[in-house]
Amino acid sequence: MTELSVSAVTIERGERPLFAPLTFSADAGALVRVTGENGAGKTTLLRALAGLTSVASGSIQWLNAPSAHYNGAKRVFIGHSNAMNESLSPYENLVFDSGVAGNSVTRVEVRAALARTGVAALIDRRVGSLSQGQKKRVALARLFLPGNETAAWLLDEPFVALDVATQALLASHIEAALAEGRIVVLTSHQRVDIRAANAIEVTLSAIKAPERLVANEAQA
Amino acid sequence: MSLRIAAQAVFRREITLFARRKSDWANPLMFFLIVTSIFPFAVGSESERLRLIGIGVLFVGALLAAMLALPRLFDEDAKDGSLEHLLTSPEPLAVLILARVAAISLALALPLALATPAFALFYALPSEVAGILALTVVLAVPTLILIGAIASALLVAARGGAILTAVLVLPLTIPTLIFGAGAALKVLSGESPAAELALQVAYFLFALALCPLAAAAALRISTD
Repeated sequence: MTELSVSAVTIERGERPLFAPLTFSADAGALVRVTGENGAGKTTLLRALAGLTSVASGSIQWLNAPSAHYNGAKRVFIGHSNAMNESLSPYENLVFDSGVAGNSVTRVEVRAALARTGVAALIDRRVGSLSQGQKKRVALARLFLPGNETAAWLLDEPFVALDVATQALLASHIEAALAEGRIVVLTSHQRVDIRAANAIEVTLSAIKAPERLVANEAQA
Repeated sequence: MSLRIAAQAVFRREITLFARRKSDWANPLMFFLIVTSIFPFAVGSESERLRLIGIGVLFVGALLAAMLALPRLFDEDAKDGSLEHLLTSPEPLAVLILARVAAISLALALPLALATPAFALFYALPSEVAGILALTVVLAVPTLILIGAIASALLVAARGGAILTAVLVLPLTIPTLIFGAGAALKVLSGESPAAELALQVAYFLFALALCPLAAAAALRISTD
């Protein structure tokens, strides 16, 4: 069954299309690697897949439901920003994250999720006092919260700031998620080895701004 | 069931943040104190004149102080990315916004209302006037936060958003200002403030019904 289908999608930023119309589909257990130069729209595509950004034309469907329907296929989006309040602890942040999604979690469950990325010991530290790598690991622990067991993973540069051992750990978590039949969409400039039976490469080609537009901006 | 969990999660997080970062409610309180205490120096110590301007100064001071908390609504979350959690929740965004407005209103209206009778001493206001002023502040602060939710949702991530928010919000608080200060003036002249209070409650209920929905729609547009 096709879980994710993207057909002729274009996304605009500031009334300018980011990339040429994009079409691909992914079945359960597929690894989708999104590549493209800086500014090609990788992050924007992931936000659109998460339902945070609307498309200018074309459609994104998860299990035949439009991407903006959060009640449909579950997705966990982990972006550049770690989406955590720095004044709160990892525990308080993760309880909020799953609470807002409608799940109540216990401290034991939060600790178990943090243990999957090796940061269970930081459960009550203030997020603001953690290092970049530790923050990223806490953010990635969201993937393992109850309620996200079947969710697709949308990971924007997840390996940034992680040490080599944790990169390998995350790669093995991704492999396990693929084996469970989840879709994992990934943007990464680092070439981390991930074994995937079904891997799709999506390359975004940036559309250069038309010269007239550039001239107008120069005047203004 | 899951809606209640989501709304509780939002409410609890805000209250935890207010308990942890005391400056979030202490700063508006300090601002309120400074604004209300410098006015008597400017207008002189004649108690009849102070009494006349006191009601207006106290009420406007409380509103301006409450404005200071508006960045707490969405700006902070937009900066650290945690606004994504609200936006991708399967629960209705308007309810989550309402939960956040409720927590922020509670954490602000209580200290401001408790401080109002104390600061009313600067203006030689009788205690029954100070009491009714505290009550109208309790009604005005949530009204302002509700209206502020629309403006900050529209201007989230906009440069110079704080000033623009004030420009958008303060004119819309004029009804609650008129009715609130009007109620206190009535008490000062020995009449019943019932009509003004009823109108102030009506304006609050109007904002309560409309603002969360409008703020949710605005937030979806501005974060797209």
